[in-house]
Amino acid sequence: MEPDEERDWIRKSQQGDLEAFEALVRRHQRMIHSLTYRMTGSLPDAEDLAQDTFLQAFRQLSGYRAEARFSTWVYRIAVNLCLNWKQRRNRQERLQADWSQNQAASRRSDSPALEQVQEALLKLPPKQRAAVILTAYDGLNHAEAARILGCSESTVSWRVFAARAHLKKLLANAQSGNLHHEE
Amino acid sequence: MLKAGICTMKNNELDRLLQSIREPERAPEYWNEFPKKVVAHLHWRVGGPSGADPRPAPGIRRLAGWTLGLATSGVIVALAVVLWREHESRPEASQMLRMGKYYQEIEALFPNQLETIVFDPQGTHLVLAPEADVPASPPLYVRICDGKNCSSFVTFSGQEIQLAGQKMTVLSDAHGGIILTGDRFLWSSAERIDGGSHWQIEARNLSSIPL
Repeated sequence: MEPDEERDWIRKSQQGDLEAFEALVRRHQRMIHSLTYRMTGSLPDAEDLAQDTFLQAFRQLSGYRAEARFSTWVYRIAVNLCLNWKQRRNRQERLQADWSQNQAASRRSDSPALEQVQEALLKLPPKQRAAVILTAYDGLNHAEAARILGCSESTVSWRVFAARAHLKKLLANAQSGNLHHEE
Repeated sequence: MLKAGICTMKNNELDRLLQSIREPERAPEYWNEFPKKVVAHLHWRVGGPSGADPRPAPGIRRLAGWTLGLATSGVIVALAVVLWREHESRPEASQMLRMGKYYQEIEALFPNQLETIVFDPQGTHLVLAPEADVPASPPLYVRICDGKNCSSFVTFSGQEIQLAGQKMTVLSDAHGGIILTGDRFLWSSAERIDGGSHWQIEARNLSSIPL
């Protein structure tokens, strides 16, 4: 259940109160940005998607029922937008370039291995990436992730399994590439 | 760190590796401004939660700015109402001050995108450029009365404003004077040139007002 304050914001937002909706955005913005960034690896794209998430949430708010937590509901919108974003444009090259740029600027002290992990994550098929982000990063169990992704629990389990196998393979390849360079 | 034998890595090790990746931190101002930006877009796009998404093409955005207007955040709307009530009277120092603050809020929300804020008998409207490429210049205040109604504009040198179907360009000269030019129309704040229109015009440089 939502805290009383948040329920009040939701009710007022459903009546078109934008100040109340601003409060909702303020409360959930970091969680949504975090997801969109992990899904895209690009700060500008993450910002665009986070904004689109809240705009869409406002438009769909009349259909929101308190059966699900508001955070879960808005998270689902964000995941779907991230998946569609991937389908909309083939931005893989730009994404990789943005990622490398972001890393160079913001994480010079991080080990190269962590960059490899993020790069590997971005190479996963989007649905696998979403599944692994929801479970490994956000600590959701498969049932919770299934509700957000709109699929069955077994599908989530399969995607997480496939994603992990895929990641291990990508990381092994990356590491072996590094070793070849070192030689 | 990656270990040898990644293919044999346990799932919890992989999860720990994934969790060790931090996203770049954004400035605190970003988190303060982001909700306002979202709400400003909502003001502009829809009238309520059940509205359809009328995300317009960039070319239509400019038109939408003129015709439908754009209120921004709740605070800004409240300010606009106050300004509108004061609009019927002559611009006084307090009103100019409020306009200056209103301008600052809008400019902060849409940096380098704001072309004109219009206060006319229909309400308050924003005119935004499709891209954030409006050159930075001091804001100018222009008030035009035709005997019945008054319209006010906060705009910049080089921008075009429209009144009663007539377009005019607002220019500022090197001495701080403001010039309005249109078809067979010229007005200057410095020289008191009046192109013969029946309008009463006042113009000031908003940046000269301490905010």
